[in-house]
Amino acid sequence: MTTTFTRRDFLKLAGAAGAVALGTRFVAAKNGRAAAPSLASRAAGQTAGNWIATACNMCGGQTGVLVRVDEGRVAKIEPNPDNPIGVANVSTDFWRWKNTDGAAMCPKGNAGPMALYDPDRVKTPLKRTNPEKGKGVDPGWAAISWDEALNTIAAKLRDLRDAGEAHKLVWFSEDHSFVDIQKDFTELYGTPNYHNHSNLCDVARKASFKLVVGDERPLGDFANARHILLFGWNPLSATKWSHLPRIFTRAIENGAKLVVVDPYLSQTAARAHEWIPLRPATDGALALALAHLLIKWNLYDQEFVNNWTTGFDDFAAFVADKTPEWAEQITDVPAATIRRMARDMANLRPAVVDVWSGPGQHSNAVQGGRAIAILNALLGNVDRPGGLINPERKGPARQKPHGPKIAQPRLDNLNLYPFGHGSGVYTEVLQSIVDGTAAYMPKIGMVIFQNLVLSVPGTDNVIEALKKLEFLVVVDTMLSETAEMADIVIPGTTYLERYDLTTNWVTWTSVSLRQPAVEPIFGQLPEYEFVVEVARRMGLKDADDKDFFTVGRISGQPVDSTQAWYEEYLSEQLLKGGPKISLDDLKALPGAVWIDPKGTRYEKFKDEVHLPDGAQTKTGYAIVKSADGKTILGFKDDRGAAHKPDGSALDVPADAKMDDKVQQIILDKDGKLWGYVDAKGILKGADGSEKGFRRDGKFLKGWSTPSRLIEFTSAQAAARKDRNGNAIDAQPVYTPRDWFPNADFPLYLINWKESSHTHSRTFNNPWLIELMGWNRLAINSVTAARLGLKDGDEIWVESPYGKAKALARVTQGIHPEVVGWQHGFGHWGLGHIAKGKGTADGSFNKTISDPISGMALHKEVCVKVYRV
Amino acid sequence: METSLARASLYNFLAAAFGDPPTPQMMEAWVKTVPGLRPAPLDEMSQAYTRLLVGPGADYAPPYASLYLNPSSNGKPQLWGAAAAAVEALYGEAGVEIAPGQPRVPDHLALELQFMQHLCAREADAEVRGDSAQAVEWRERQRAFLRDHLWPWLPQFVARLSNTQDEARAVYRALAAFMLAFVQSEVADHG
Ligand code: SF4
Repeated sequence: MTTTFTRRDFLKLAGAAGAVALGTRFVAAKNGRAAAPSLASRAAGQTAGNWIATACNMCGGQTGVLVRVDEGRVAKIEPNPDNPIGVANVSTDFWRWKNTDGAAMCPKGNAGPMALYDPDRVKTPLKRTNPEKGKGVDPGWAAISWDEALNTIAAKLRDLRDAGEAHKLVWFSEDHSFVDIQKDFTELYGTPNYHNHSNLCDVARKASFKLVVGDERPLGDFANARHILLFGWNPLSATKWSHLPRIFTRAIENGAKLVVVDPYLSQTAARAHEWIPLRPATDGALALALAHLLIKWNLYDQEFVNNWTTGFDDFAAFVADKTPEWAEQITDVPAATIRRMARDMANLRPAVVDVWSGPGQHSNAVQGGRAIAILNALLGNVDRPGGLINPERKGPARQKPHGPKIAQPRLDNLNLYPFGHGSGVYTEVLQSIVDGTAAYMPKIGMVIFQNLVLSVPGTDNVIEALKKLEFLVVVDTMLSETAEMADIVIPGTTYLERYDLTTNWVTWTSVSLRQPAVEPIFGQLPEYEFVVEVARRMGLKDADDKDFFTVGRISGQPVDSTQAWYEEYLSEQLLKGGPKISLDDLKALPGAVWIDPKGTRYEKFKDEVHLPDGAQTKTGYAIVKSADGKTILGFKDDRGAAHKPDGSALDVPADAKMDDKVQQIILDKDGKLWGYVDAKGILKGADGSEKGFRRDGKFLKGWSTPSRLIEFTSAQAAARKDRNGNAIDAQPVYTPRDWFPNADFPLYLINWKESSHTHSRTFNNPWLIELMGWNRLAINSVTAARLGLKDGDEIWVESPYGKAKALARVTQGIHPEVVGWQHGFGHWGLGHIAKGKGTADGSFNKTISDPISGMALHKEVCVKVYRV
Repeated sequence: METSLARASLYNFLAAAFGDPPTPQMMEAWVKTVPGLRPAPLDEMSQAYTRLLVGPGADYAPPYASLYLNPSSNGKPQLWGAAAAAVEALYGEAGVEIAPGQPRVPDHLALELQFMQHLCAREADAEVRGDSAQAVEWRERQRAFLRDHLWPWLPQFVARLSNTQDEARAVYRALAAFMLAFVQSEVADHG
């Protein structure tokens, strides 16, 4: 435009400009600043800076941090020594080291401000204007008001529910952030299809350890160990746990030996005393050979095995032929090396063995993980110093709301995965939508803080599945590749702008607060308030027609502000959980963290379970159960009279089951049912939950397995079938994974994570991209020579499911039959820094999961590699 | 007083244009106010607004002062640079703060323009009350804000925004040119 204006022109035009409504961007300042001070008195008074204690969430590690806020701006982030996460995972170390070593955080934690102040963030709700959806198709975003966005979403959800199709809402969320409120919403709304991230991460490990030691996430007490054997885990530089590098360093300073089994020379393997490269997914076979030797050489802890485990003899018979030579054939680890490993771990006690997502993301992960977990039992080192600890978790208590009965099945068939996880099975729900094999076609998708397209195996399938939804809402801080498929995008918050309660990664209970260091910078609703606001606009109530999202959870009074409502919600969880304090109390504690003063307790399996005062123990009684055997209806006394648990008379239904094999029934002093001892001597509560077992006239807690002992042989596994209807072995068998290299696709492809990035979400962060800006494909130098490839060559990587360009990194640090790279690269969305850097690993995969746990198979891929 | 009210009105007009998605009413006012501006259909205008002023993407011209004034070290772009804290302090001293629930990155163009509207309105108010000392002081604040904060980055921003072609975006080019000319005349007028 070339028109030039005079000053007078402008002033004339102001009349027409006056038609625009007066902006509401400002209000009169509070804090007595309303009366404008004169310019002369302008306070040099820069507001003094504040340190705000909160918890990092650049990854799921939840490290305690202190955030420096100067004049409303996050200036820098430091570790918080009052929070165990970042200091140590065992309480005695924590109380010592917080004053000597302070706390630690990782590069991603330091880069937090760059995520908060990323100019590419989603700043306002966006609406798709281009109905066509697809990879790289411009959605034609149009900014819309919050009202329009919230009302549209609420109306769509209300219509679906009113049409009797509430189950056709599918929901995907992160697993460490604002999970409970989303579960509440889906339960009250009436859909069974809530999923979260865990089944992309470590649910195979969870199943393995749960089956053996009765805990889903035992944590290693590495600092006190003298021998540490890790399978497929990179704790010195993986995504999470800023305190692990120092814990391992301390162990090594104290003389511990660190041995890392991994096809790839990870940062941890590089710092270990020994790196044992092996073929992917054969870790279980190696563990069985180690068990074979420990038993054969009589180097296992007999006292522990005799007293605290079950099924040892069958297991010993099973491993009798699992010789080092047998394992060498499978793993490519020399038999002599396996012998040396066994001798070392037996000689250097306490010894601890751990495994994470390296072997955990293949089709044979659960049994392999069991074999590894069992090594700890042979070494007598479960829940003991320097061993594998079952953490105590008495954190916030979620209060389950009363939702409608849901008749329809879950789309992911979670019940068919015998040791599946509450997070569901992403691959099955998405693949069944693509195939049209789903029990019913879902219509509305809600994706909060998840980039399914880049993180679920089989990129093209995921895109196809999302395209088939009629209406997709994505809540994210960035325009991810998943957001690209959305009909409405809602701006999310970074962890510096929101609340959460976190409780992970140490061996005793500590509850830390994540709290807003600054208000959401675009005036957006934090994710939990978004959920509450949608529920309010829908008028969503509970099954008793009572208000849930509008009434304060403690006060019982209507609460207008969604933030105040959520603060009360968190307070209730704290007051009813382990800490028994309010949110305000938690804020006032040093470092905004509540720490159970009891600290780490070892040998909790020896805890005695006490019966209530005045308990009466009865024999010759029976327990009355419902027809399916799942619910306890009451008990029958020795004269044949039946009673409800509260002691009143019970009308026994005709189809009730009578369990008269119980050894004892325990009534409290008022004659009410407190619990019973079943035929096998297991102590159970009035609801049938296991509490302990009888030994020497006392009740001991034991482990949370069906036998209350560590289970070498798993009767509960053998009693189930996997997702494909195949029997599960009671022994931790090595089964070859489903997919092996062949002439067409001769190389294993694996992927890993490093401390430079989290999952697929930090790749627009300029500091982190500076640390790691490209995921070149690591190829062993011998293999590269055979293929005629040089370092830096541009190459094609091809599997039956995908083909893409990459850059070669020739190295000795990877097994010759394997190629691999860091996960999370290869964005075509997200932001201007992330775009076009590296290669996306998910596109080479099939969209499948392990048939026992539902764990997504990110690493069961074979490829060919050739020069462009 | 008429002058300060007229200026307030123009600043308010511009704050809306660069801070809110377009509406039919706004577009009507644009046609009447900015000579030669020819609006495109509303949905194209909404998309143009989003591409140019909300981002991200190749056409994004981030409307934040500090991205131009304090490109952080190594050229790594970051919102809420030093300029943002500086203007927020000035807002407080002038008796206003960013309204709850509103985008609150302080150096967004729309906030800086709205702040000028506020300062002009306060000047008009002082004039009505016959408090010429106060009026002078409000005018002095405007002068300082224009000189130190709004003007220094505006030409760069307008240049970045104008680097686009299609019709819907031509409207934003016209608005930007109009804004630039107006603010330039303001700077000149304040001396
Ligand atoms: S490991 Fe790093 S990114 Fe993860 S929570 Fe800890 S400091 Fe933050």
